Amino acid sequence: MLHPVYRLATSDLNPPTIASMGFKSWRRHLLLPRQLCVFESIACEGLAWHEHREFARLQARRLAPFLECGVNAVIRSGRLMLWFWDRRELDPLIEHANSRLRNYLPTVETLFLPLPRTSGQFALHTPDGLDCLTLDHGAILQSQWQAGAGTAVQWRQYPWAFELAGASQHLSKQPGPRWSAAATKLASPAIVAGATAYMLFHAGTYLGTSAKLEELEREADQADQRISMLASAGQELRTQTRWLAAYRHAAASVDLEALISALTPELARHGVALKEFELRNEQVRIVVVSAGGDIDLPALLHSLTTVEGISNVQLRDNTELRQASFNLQVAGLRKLLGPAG
Amino acid sequence: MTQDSEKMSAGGSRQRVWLLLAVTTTILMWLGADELRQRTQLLQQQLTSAHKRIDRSSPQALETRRAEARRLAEMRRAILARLRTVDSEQMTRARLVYDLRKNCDAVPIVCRVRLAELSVGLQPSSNSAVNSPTSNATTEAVGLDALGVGRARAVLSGTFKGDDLMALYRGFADDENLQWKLNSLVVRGTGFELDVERLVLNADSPAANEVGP
Repeated sequence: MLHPVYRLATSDLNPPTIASMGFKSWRRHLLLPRQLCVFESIACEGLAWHEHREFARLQARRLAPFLECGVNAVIRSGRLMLWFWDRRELDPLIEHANSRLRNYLPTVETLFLPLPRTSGQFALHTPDGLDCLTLDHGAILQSQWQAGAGTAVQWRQYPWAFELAGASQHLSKQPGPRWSAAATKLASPAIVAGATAYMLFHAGTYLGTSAKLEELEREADQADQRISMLASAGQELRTQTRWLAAYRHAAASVDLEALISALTPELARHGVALKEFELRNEQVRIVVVSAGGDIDLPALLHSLTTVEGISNVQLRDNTELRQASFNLQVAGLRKLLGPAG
Repeated sequence: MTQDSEKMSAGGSRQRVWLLLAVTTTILMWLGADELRQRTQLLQQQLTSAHKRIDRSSPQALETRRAEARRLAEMRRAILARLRTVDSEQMTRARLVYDLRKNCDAVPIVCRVRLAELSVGLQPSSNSAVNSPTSNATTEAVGLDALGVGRARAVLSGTFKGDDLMALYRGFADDENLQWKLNSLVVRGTGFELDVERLVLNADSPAANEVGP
């Protein structure tokens, strides 16, 4: 979008005014009278093109003559040209003339006046006077403004050199924070600090985990020893259990009292009496006789089979149904005789 | 180039060097942190493994098993202590006959006492295994000899009436000092023959060492 170019006109007698120049530009230019500015020129031959802007800003900051200073900076033919103005003086003028234009970029009018690429003395006519210049291949070495009668001048549609200060043309020597500069300065340390913190965090985690692992490894070694001792204790336990079981089996005898107590009711129920009794280890042979009547051998055999602790009942011999002998296995009726029982 | 431009150029170069150093340091730090992070993950796996190893055994389980083993060993020592005798073989036999006679008189019952199978000594066989009674054989097959326990055997015979025989038997079953084993009992009419043996642990037996002096 193109914006109209304005010019600030000042006079000792009249209040300041702002008038349109009748042409437009891509930037919002507000032309300043040459007499409001202080000129400086510095040689910068050999300076790389990408260093122009930074060099200009640096020099502008170094040479700024006012506390609140505005600046235009251009480089032409190996020379940096600077125009400074006092913002404390200019800003009230703009505010008084047209406050809507306070966001326009002040630009010295010299940049919009035709300047030849010659060397030597040159008189540049301005609306308010004459700017006596000393040129070197189009670069201004010296500039001396002289007031005079206003003359009609031929304006350029655009500056004869690229303005380097741009939006950062407001310089201030007053102390105060510059957040962008501080951020630029702090960026590198901040990145390094962040990475260091990240690494320290992981280093701490690693060291902590390592120490914990070392402690757990010690406990695990003790656990392994305990497992070995558990196996040893288990072996000892099994040995003792086996010995006791073997002793109880080998030293136990048939519980005669329990055997007789179990047999007597069954024999009485079938009407038989015990005639002979022979016990050898776990084998018992009994001979029973009928007290009167026949012996119901199947029923007696079945009854003997159902007695708890008695097994493998066999009918071995009989005399008709009056007398019978049985073999019994009494492994389930064993006990220790003596204190251990 | 002017001195100013040289200064500015030098300042910019220095700033770029610092920036390069910062970036390099950052990359190195980040790589180191990443390496540490991976190592930490490895350590975490080892931690899990160590936890599993620790959980496999606990001091309480060990103590419980040891206490159970001690209890059984104490029970075994108590049994052996009851069997232990300082008498000689002949004295043991003589005391056996005497005790049996006393038992018969206590009922009272008429009985004859004789030592049986003199070939059976009080000493267990020399190849007995005291501490490992069973290696391949089952516990049922292990005899008293293998356990290091000796026997003094005798046969009582006589006649009885009523409940005398059971009273005699109860004399063995309820004995509070001596350990007995009933081998056989034959009853025909009112006659009986009782084969009984007393379990003893001779001082010369290997198992006696477990009891102590």
